[in-house]
Amino acid sequence: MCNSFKDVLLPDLRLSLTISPRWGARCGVLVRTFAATVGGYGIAALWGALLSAGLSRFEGVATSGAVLTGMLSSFAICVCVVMWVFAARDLKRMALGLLIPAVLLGVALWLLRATA
Amino acid sequence: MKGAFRQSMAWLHTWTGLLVGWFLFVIFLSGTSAYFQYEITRWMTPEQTVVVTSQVAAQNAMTWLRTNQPEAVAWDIYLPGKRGGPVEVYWTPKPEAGKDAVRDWEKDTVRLDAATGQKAAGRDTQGGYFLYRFHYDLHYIPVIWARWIVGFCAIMMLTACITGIVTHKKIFADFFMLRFGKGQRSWLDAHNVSAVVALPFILMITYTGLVTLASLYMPWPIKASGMTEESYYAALYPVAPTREPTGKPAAFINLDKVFETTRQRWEGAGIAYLSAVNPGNAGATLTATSAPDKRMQTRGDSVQFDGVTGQILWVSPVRGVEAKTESVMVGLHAGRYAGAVLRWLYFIGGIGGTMMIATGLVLWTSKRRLKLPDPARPHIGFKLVEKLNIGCIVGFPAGIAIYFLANRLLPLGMTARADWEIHSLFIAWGAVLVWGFARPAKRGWVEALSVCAGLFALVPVVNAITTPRGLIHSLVSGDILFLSFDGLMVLTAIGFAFAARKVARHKPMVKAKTKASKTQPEPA
Repeated sequence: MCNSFKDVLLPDLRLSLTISPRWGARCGVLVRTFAATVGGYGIAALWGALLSAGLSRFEGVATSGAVLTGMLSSFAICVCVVMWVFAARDLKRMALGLLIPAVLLGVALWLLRATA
Repeated sequence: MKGAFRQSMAWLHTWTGLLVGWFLFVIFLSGTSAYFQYEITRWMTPEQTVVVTSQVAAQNAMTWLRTNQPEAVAWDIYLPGKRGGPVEVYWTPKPEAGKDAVRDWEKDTVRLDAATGQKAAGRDTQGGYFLYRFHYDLHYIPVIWARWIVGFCAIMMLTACITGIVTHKKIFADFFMLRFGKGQRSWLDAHNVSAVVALPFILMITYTGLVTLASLYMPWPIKASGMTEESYYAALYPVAPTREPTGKPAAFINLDKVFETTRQRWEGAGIAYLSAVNPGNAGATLTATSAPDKRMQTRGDSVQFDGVTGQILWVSPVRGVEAKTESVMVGLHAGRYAGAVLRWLYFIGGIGGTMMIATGLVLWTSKRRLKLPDPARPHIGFKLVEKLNIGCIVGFPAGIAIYFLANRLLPLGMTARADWEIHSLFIAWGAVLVWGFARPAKRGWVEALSVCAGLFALVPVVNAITTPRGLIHSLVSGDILFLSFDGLMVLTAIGFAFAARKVARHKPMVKAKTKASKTQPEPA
């Protein structure tokens, strides 16, 4: 059955080297829940901010329109990130899959703001 | 890998759905009722029988303001649409010399009967407006917290929808599959059918719901663009410029002219909102904002008139494509543009979504019951879900029935009457919740469902006893609104009674039988 986190998040059992498998799986769920909340909102916010800053700068979109484009699309990004966090095979992949886009978006946003 | 992906998505679907399912049920049901917000308000204010055009309502409101607040420096009038309701007026009192004009939004306002232009007669009630506000502002807690809670639930809902689609392999084939009397399998079928039928609606309503409060949830794009919140709102929702009053008094313009001009400009759309500054002065202005009854776009256009000559002074600028998109998304969510047929479709979509959530919650328990080590003594988590299911899926509708009953039964002159109607809802809901926890699960379901059915059946009866607008009167006089409302109450009662009977007659499936059926492939 697929609804037990023991089965689905089996790879997280690596966490359990020091603790019992059951608690290892539970920790895995906890870590992923935290990552999904912070990562989901964080990456969505970075996406929205970058789109808003980029569109008004390079595409000649009116600033309020660029803000809206970033704002309205960010919710879809948030859902994608949450899905990724729970779909990733293990915690390492999950973390990389969050950090790489977050850093890329963050650096791009920083560059845009720094050169404004 | 593909199998693993589907499995983890099934897991996510189950747990996101369960975590916020009770909230979502309540939000969906109250939000669905909001499509008939004005109709509910009219049922809850049975003394007001006449629906007038917004033009007549505006004239009446203007007369009231001229008589009662002639000195005020600003008048604002919120007009009812074609579907009726009261007209709300606000004013800003003339300040003492040397002070700034300030409006007390709680005090400097009155709700008028649109047809008579007098203070609304009859019972004090929030009507359908309360249920509408409740679906995103909740109650008894600060609205900002409520909106964040509702927003969190919405993003969970969206996640549950997408993962549900991913999980469900044969989504359209199974759509034609509704197997009754097969326990868990039937609940799954019911969950799928309600989800697939209402899927476009559910996805649309959840996403656009987030859009209605986007700048609260996602303010970062504003900051990143270098705008402030003030400049952002000013750019998105431009306000007409103000004009200083002159020393001379002058007669305020005739509203008929304003209605005529705006009707032509807005392709037949009405006026939702009128704002007069310095009425009665030669420097007066009047700004009219369009009603969202003709277009999917919900954000209105504004025209500012000279308050004496009627000359157009200012017109709100044409929206950019992004602002139009936002306006249409919010418009799609609220459905204010919808005519009668589309409004019923909205309502049915909302009920479909509500059913999907309810069946999903029940499915969670149905699926796990047979796997319990001892089904007679479930573990605490299972018990909690089961009891909360009773408390919300039956408790909240029972609360709504009590809300309608309280509207008819509370004394008319009671202080804080409108508040007590609302308290009644929560007291009834709380009672069912406690009852569910106190009773064994099956008994709890049957009793709560039966009581809920009884309460809804009582609504038309009590209406007939306490008002002259009972079912027979409605039939004879062809009062479609009261007929539909009472009819819907009876239908709801029948639905709950049917559910109560089903649960009462339900015999739990034998364990061995379930095991045999496991050989068939089983979608999550």
